[in-house]
Amino acid sequence: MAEEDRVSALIGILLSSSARPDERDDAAIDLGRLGGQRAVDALLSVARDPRVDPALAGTSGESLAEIALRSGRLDEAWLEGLVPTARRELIEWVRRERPDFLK
Amino acid sequence: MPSCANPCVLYPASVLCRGLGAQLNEGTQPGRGNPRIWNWISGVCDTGSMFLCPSLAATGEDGGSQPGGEGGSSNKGNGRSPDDWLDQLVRLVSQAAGDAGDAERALSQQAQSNLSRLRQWASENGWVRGPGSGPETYGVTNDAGQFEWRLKIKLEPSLRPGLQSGSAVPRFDARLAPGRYINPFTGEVGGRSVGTHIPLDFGF
Repeated sequence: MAEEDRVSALIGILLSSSARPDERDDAAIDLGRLGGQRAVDALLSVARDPRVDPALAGTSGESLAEIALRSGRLDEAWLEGLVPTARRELIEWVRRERPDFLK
Repeated sequence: MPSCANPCVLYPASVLCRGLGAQLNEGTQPGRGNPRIWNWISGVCDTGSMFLCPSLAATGEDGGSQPGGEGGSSNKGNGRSPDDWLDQLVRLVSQAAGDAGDAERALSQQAQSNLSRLRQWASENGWVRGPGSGPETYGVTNDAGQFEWRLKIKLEPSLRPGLQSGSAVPRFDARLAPGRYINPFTGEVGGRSVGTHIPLDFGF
C-alpha cells in the first residue's frame, strides 16, 4: 500500500466510531510514525475532541509529540484546545527531549 | 447510584455494581416505579468502572412512572421503555465481556503465560487498572488525578488495511512515561518502536 493510501486508511480508522478502541489506538500510533500534515490534522482533531475517549486523545497527543520531535519543530498552535490528557502527553515528552521547544 | 439522566459518565464499579439480588430501586432512586433485581453477569464488575452513555442510559424516573408501574410512560423522547434500555445495556456489556473472554481463551499457551506475567508485573509496580472500555490498561494516577497508562494490552488482532503488521496479533504496549517505552521481557528501553505492538506470544 502506498504511503498516502496508508495514511488515508489510518485516518479512516482513527476517526471511525465503528472501529475498535485498540484499532483506533494503533492507528494513532502509526500516524505518529508516518507524520505529514494530513496525519497531524487528524490527530489534532481527536486530541481536541472532548467527546473522545481520553485514552485515545492521549495517544494522539503523544503522536503529535513524536512528529514534532522528529521534525525538529513544535507548532505552538498545536497546543491550543487540546484536551488535558492529550496536552499532558505531548508536553511531557517534548519537555523531556526538547525543552527549548516550549519556551 | 448516580442519576442516569447525566449521560456518558464514568461510574466506578464500587458505586454501580450492586450485590447480587439487590433491587435496582432499593434506596438508590425515589421509591416509584418497578423495583428490579439487579444481577450482574459474572465478570462484568471486575473491570473497575464502566460508562453509561446516551444510547444506553435510561432516563430514570422523571416524576412520571414507568410502563407497568404507576400510570403512563416516563421515557424522555426515545420511545423505549426502561426495560428495553436495561436489556440493551446488559446485552452490550455481556457481549463486551464475552468478546474479551473469547480473545483471551484463544491465546496461545505462550501468550497466556506472558499475559499472566504482564498482569503480575503491573501489580508489582503498584499500577491500577485504567478506566474506559478500550484495551486493558494499567497505570498510575498523577497529582492532577489523571490516569497515566503504563501497560496497555490489546488481545484482539486486527487485519484492517493500513495498520502495521504488529496489529495483526494479540499485542501489548509498555512504557515508563510518555515517549519512553520498555519491552519488559528484554528490559530494552527506548522510543515507541521498542514498546508498542509487542506480540503477546513474545518468546524469550
